[in-house]
Amino acid sequence: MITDEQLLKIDSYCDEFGSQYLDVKEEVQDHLISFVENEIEENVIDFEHAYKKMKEVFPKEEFNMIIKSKKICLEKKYTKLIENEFLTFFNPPKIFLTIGLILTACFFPLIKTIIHKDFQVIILIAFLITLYVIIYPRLKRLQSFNDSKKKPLLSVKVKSRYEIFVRIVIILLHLSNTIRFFISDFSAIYLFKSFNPENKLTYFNLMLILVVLTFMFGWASVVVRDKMYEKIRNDYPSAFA
Amino acid sequence: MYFYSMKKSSLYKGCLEPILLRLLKDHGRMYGYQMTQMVKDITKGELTITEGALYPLLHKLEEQGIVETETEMNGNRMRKYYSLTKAGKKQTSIAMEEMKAFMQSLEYIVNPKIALG
Repeated sequence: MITDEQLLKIDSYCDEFGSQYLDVKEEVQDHLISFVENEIEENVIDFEHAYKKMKEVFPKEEFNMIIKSKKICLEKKYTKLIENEFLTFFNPPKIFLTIGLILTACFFPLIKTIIHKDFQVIILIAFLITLYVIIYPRLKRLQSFNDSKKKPLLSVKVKSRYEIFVRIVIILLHLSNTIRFFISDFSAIYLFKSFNPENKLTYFNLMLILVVLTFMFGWASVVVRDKMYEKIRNDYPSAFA
Repeated sequence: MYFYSMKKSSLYKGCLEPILLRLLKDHGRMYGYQMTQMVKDITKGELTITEGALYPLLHKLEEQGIVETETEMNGNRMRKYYSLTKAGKKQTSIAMEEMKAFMQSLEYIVNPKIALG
């Protein structure tokens, strides 16, 4: 068994070649240590000689290959997890809720009578909800980064890409509302209205539909993000210890 | 890329996956270095699996749900163990059958008398 000091030396070698991520390091480091221990035992050489041999047998290219494959594996793993969690989130009650909210937004009769003041309140509420959805994951992510600052995880890096995607979708949904707010002749709305000869769907109805979609997507993304975070914590508890 | 085995490396390409699956089936759970050493020992040093081939394959198998991992403390460091999942055990049986069929086909080519007989 090698000493803690020797272990640190192998640890630095791992860091040097980019496997500073704990999830990559935890398998590579043990492999290197086992190699060194085996060399010391079988060939009766000292640590320094075994370490030198290890560096020859395990060059940078080997690390790169392992890191690359780990990244691909994690991306696929989390993509699958996201898909499954999104599907689990949108169970029959939530699908009915989404459809119900969209139908309400489409045909709510009082909408036409609502004047600008109420309109602005709803916009403000939607904005605050979305802001929460955007800012809350960021705060949580910052916290998770602080937790694993000394032991970074490739999984966290991969997970943050998902958060960027969620923010882009939410911002796009909001932008579509904002554009509608400032540009009255938004062609997509006219296109939408052309399918609605009775002209039941107003600009305001359409805006509410986007608010509903933003809300449901935001809700789902927060739930999925938390599941991912929980999974990472369970897989690599030592990174958060 | 798969093996460093002097002149025969191309012959063994593609066999790494069934070899690993078989090892995991026979030994329950194993860690990376143990796998490389066991292959080396069984083949009397004829085959040496490189780390750059072993871990990407293990990652692929993990992502496909064929193997699962668990991490344990081993002395002053973490050690990651790989074992077959339920689907992995099924996959191993299929891979072994395919391997046998492949070896049989090779035998027919290398020794045509057997095929004729």
